Amino acid sequence: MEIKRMRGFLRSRFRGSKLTVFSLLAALFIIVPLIIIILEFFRPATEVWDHFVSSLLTGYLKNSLVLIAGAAAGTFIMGTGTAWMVSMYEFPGRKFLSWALVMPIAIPAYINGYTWAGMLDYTSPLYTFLRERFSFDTGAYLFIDLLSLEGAIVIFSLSLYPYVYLVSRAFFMNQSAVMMETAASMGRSPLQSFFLVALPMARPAIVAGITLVLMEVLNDYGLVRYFGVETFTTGIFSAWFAFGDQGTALRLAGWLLVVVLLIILAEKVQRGKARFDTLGGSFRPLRRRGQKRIMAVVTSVAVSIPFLLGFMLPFLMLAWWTVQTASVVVDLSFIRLTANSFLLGASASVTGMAAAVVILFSLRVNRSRFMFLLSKLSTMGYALPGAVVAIGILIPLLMADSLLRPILGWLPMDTGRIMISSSVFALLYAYLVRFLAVGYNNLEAGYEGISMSIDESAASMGSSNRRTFRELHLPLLKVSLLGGGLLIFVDVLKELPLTLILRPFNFDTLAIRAFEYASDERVAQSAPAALIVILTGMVPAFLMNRLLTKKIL
Amino acid sequence: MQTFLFITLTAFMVLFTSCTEQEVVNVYSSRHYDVDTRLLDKFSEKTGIRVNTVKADSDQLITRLENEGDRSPADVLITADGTRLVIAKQRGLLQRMDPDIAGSVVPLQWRDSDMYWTGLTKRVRFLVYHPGRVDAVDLADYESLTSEKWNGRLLVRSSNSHYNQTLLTSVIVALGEQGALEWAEGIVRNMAREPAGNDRDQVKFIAAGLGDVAIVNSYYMGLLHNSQNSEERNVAGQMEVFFPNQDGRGAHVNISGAGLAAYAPNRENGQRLIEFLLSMEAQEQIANENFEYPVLPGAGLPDMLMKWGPFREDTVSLDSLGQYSGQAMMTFNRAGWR
Amino acid sequence: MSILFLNEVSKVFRSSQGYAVKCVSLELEKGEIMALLGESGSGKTTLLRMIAGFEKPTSGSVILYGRKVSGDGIFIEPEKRGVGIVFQDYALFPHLRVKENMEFGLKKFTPGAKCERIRQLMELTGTSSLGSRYPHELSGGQKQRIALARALAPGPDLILFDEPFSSIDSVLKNQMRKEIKGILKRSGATAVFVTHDTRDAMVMADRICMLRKGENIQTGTPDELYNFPHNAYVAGFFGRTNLIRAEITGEGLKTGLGILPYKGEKRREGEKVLLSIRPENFVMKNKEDGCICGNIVDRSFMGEYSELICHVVTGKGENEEVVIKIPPDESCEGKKCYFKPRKKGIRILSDKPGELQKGNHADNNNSPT
Repeated sequence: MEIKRMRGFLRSRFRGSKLTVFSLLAALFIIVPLIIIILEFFRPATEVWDHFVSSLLTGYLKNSLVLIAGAAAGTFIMGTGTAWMVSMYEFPGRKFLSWALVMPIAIPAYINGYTWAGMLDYTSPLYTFLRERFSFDTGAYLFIDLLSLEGAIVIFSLSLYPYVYLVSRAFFMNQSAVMMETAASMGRSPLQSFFLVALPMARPAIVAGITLVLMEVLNDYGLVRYFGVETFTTGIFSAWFAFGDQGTALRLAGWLLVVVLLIILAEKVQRGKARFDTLGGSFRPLRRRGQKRIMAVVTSVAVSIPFLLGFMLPFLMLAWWTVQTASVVVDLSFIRLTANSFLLGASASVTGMAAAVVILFSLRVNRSRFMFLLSKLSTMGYALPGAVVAIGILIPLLMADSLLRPILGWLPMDTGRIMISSSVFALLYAYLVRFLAVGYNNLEAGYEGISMSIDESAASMGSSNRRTFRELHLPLLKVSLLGGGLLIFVDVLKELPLTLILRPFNFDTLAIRAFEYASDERVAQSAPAALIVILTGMVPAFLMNRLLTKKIL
Repeated sequence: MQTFLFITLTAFMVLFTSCTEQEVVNVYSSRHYDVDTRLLDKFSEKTGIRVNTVKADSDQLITRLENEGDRSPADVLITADGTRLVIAKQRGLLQRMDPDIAGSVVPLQWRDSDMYWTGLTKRVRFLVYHPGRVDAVDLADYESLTSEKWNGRLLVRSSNSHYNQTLLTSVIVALGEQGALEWAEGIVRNMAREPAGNDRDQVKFIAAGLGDVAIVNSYYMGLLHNSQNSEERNVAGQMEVFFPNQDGRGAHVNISGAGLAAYAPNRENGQRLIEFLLSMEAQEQIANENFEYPVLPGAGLPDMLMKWGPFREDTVSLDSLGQYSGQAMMTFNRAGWR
Repeated sequence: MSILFLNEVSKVFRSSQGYAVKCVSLELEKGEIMALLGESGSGKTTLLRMIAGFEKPTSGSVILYGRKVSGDGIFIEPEKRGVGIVFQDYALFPHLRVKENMEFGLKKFTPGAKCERIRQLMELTGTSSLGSRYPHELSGGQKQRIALARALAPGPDLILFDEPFSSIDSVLKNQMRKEIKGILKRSGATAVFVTHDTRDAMVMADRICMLRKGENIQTGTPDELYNFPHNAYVAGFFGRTNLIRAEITGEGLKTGLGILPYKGEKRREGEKVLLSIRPENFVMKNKEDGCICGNIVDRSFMGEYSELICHVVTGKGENEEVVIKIPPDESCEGKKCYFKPRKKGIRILSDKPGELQKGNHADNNNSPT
């Protein structure tokens, strides 16, 4: 009774408060790009669009679907396979690999792609070595033609399998242990149990991991561009820049969005059906099996492959290239570039976490259905590919610029050339839209650890909301805030297509510089910038496997 | 909350303060060669004008100029493809420069008749082949590459390349739209592989044995011959070059050029930069270090270009090519040229 | 031949933590049901898991059906042991229907035999109507029956239960104990189950193995453990008891309550021992006549019986507290009472009286509510 009254009191006090208005605004801002894209479909199509439909769209669709299917299969096999071996068997290096298998997540797919292309280039050290030492004919037979749809699938799989690995490992190691033991007691071998019990049970989690992989694949621009695979993102760039047709670019973005939404929907449907019992009781880790020595070595080698190919080799290659080119590439402008990237990442994570705090806190004091909807809407950005977010933001900002123009002209200062659309603001806005969900999920997990009764008892002692937040929530959420901020920071550092479209005048980031060098056939020079991006990305992977799991689940 | 806002605002301030200075020239450039960096540095040294460069794909630069309109900070637009300059002029993104900057020195063929833009360098889209597998006698012109004989032997990069797009506009001018579509389809039929990589890659593909003939921009061969990577020099050494259409309209020549942005805030500095890039000194440096043909008549050529010798150039004006750029892209798409 | 034989089995997880299971030896005959009883941390679950093959013993050997499955460098994986197991949370495969769950272990059966076997099991466990349901559509008791049926399906010679009744509410518990015991007896299976509840152990088990800190402190029938506990721990674990210091003399046991009769093996005179007398092993008398006289301090009516707490003044003038259970109809008015221990109810424990630290009667902390 007392509690109910208290809740009612809290509710009435804060309905329509500043906080709610604030998060309403945040949510509105965030769904602007969506609205822009949807509106485009009510406008007449242009000639360019007709051309795209008649000669390009099916190609985009086909390529995207093949990429999706290939990457899903590749990450599934690598992710669940390695997770299974690591949780089920004992073999040399298991402990190290169990952790190291996550590392490829630190290398953005496009960097992995052009690094591998550089390694397998005809004039690469590898082929030169083979030709010189063994007088191999490294011609048509040995030459691996990576720059293709198949090559892109391989690179996507190698870079993104950790998403699947993380969820499957978590599942195999803890949740399914008792089931595996039961299956064993009924005479099933580990392999049988894997296919009959572990996989079907882990399905919802694995599919969620694969869904994330697919989002990343559809978001990618750098890798497909470099590998010459035409997809929706390259189409958006081509429509926007080569044909100079915004409408077509928006329509393509709309189509891409449909594909993304279908994937999300499919994931929801499969998860919805699986109303599986949650296992109560203690989660006991599985006893790992010993193996005969030869088998153990074979397992070690097999499980190392994704790590070696997805992380170690490209990393070493980039390190070597960095050693070779650093003296030329690293100059004052490179340092400014790095500062730009870091400052941008830091600002984006601060704004992102601030917005997440506002929305989550207002959701807490006002648990209405409306607020809930609002919070869901504002975290949708992560599903929107970067290119889609960029044009969805650029167009309204350009409109805003032309509206603001007379006002700016009146001001006494030299503001004549200031434009929102080509400012850091636009970039930060876009990052907010795209990465809010990353911070939000982290913070939400943090908030779940703070019981509502803490707020209520604080309120009963006369604490204002502000004070409750500052003195209770903030200290308790410190870790979640830092973790979420770090993830946003790393994501911003890696981000390519969005930054490419929205960066302000005279403003480059590490990711852009790396990609430009690589596109100019100067992969070696791209290495220092790429390496900084990777090393930063290693921090969350390094420090907290746990944090990444949170981002995924 | 206040702390967050404070940090954010500070970050903005820091990020914004990088663009306030006196003598500057802002360059939007799609040229990404080391020689440019050296030249621009030299320019700054000589004149004391600081050069801010934004490097991006020329289409992106044009879109950006368009979006920025009269608030654009750009003074000079430099592209690696002539057609883009024509498009920029068509869209009103350029302004007339002083005629005496280029008018007197650059031949009319390589500049805009109204002086909205000027070429800086020329590059030939010629053929590279492996002499062990191809007899130079069999190579004649771009058109003959569609013949059955080259089935599965031809290498060329993707249609996203502006060099290919402009090449196709020249084919459209020469053969008409239908003829160009058939030509593109013929090339696609003969491709040794789906287009991937850039011009240098096509040469490497020949070395790897994937194909025998490639359509390549001339300066890439120069760069390969002078690469720091001995293996690349080795690859280039295996190849021969061929100037096509010497008995007809001449080999297709594209330019890399510059124009003065329509709303250039530092118009004078922009003109001085273009003037500098057209100086004999700069022209010879580009030729020597990047193996492009200078637009300035009488500029000295490096040995490599001397060795290739003089050749007949396709004389069709870039202005006339520019109007077909939209069609070129669509023709490529229809022909299935990736 | 015994179904299961454990020979000095020990398990150390981390050397810093000491023994989880220490030198436990056990033997189980066909058709027998044995309980592994102990508090949490007593090593009972670890022992069970070693039998199943989920843990590898640090030393000692496990022999199943006369075949060594663990020890001397041999280790047979669980799937090759032919041991059924029913987990605390039943571990029903959530993605399979009840029938498919039961079929899971029947991989070597022909389809016809499978059907027949499942029909039998469903009949045996009374779950015939549940075949096409998913586990999340079942009640707790149904889940348990099916988990048992599933474990029985391949016809293992030994079935293990891990805390079988801990996730069932107390009303259902009674019923399930009897039911499961019935099923096990009818199917002729041999079973080992782990529990911390003495009721479970007494109702279900033919024999109980009592574990404490990894050691087997007493094995015997429920009756033996209840009535003939080896030590105060066992005595206390099985319910309330009065622990009384005594000295062996010629006339009997000299205690604070007076001289008590002494039965059983001869002991050295003057030896100090500890006695356990359960509260129900006192008889109320009306007169002082050779009886112990106590002052009633507290009286609680518990329904099926009443509990008296009396203080008896010892020879040294101290108060010794005694708990007595009397039938509810037996009135005991007034402040004083007279009682006498039953001769058969007096047990001499193996503990030394000095080891007794708190109070002089042990409480069973684990007693079922």
